[in-house]
Amino acid sequence: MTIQMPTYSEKVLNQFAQKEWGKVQAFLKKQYSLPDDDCNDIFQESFIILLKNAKEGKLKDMTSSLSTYFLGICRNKARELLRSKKHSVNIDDDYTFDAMSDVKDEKINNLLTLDSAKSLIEQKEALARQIVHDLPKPCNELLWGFFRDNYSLQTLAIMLSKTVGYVKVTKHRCQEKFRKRYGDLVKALL
Amino acid sequence: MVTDKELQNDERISAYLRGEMTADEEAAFKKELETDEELRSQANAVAHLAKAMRQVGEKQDEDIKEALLSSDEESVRKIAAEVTHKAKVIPLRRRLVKVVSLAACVLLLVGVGFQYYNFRAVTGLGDTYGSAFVSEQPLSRGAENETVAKELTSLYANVQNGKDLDATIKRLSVLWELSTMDTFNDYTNEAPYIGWNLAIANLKNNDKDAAKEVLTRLISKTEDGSAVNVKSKELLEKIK
Repeated sequence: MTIQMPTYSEKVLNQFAQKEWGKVQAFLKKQYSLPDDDCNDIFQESFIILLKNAKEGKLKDMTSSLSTYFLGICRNKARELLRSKKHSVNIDDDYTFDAMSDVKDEKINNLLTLDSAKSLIEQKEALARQIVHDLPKPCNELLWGFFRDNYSLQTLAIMLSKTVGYVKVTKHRCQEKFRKRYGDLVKALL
Repeated sequence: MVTDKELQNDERISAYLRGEMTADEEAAFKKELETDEELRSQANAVAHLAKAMRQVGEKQDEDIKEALLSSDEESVRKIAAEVTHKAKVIPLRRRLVKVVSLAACVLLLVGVGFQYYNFRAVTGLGDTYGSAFVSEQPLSRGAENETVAKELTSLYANVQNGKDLDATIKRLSVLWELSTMDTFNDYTNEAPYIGWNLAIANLKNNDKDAAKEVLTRLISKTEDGSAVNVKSKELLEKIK
């Protein structure tokens, strides 16, 4: 028997889809009280829209992360569906999705100048990248969601089906874990 | 126990990074950074975290965009359907049919699953060991020949990402031969890394025998106790 192995592109898209599905589903259910079947349809249609937008070159100059962009497509599809079913969409209830402002490069660089040991910058950046690559759950969801996708704590709470308080405290603990791990690795490097 | 002050500091660091502080708040925050060592360390770590996420995230997004561009609607539709399928609500009358189908699938999967297990066991080793020497590769080593460095960086990246493995293995095999020649050439100094990446690429491509062959040769060509030598022995042992 021969096994059809997925291509590299299929593997990449599959990983992305798997990562997004849980967040999208939780968001659509909580925010719009949609049943599972509608969530499935919205996700699948949004994925096709994402493909079409990529082919049309619409993703070239995007400033947000792909994850945030994709959730935006899903949200629009959900609102379309609700409108077609004559549900009133309360825009005020939708505030939690509004992504926060981007983290500014200039501000990051200002804080990086506080580094007590200014040598081996490239190696230290590589260490930080290595840590963020391997973050365990739920730190990966929280920190990526907050710093890369620019989701508010409220949106993250919805996506993870947790309270805002939990998200706030857990995010802090995850940051502290990062600080410790990063500090230990840098010490070993110096 | 997380204190209120620590949480407040988090919020302030985040507000600063996003440019959401008023001029007065920002001035006070900067002043405090000068005197409060704990806040300074916390802020510095968050800045490293944010920068790393920006760098890694942008790279990942580029990979996904590239994957989208090289995919067609049918395969994307299939992926989305497969991912959402698990949670699909099945009406009661269809559940019995599903159970029977599932039983048949289980029988089929036992066969396929065994082969997949072997595949994962081999490719998984490639994933685990793939990044062992990332930081020592050409980007940070400043190779003399820029074209060589560029090509190697791109090939190593392909190995890391499991991308274009067939073509990458083909090219690395040629370079591996060149790098291990007796006469000094552009690739001589890179030999351990070319060999290592070739072995990893073979593993990721589920070719255990080819990986073993490269590793055996790599061990004989590298100094006993050197990092590549030690890792190669370790990996070879695991493959066996």
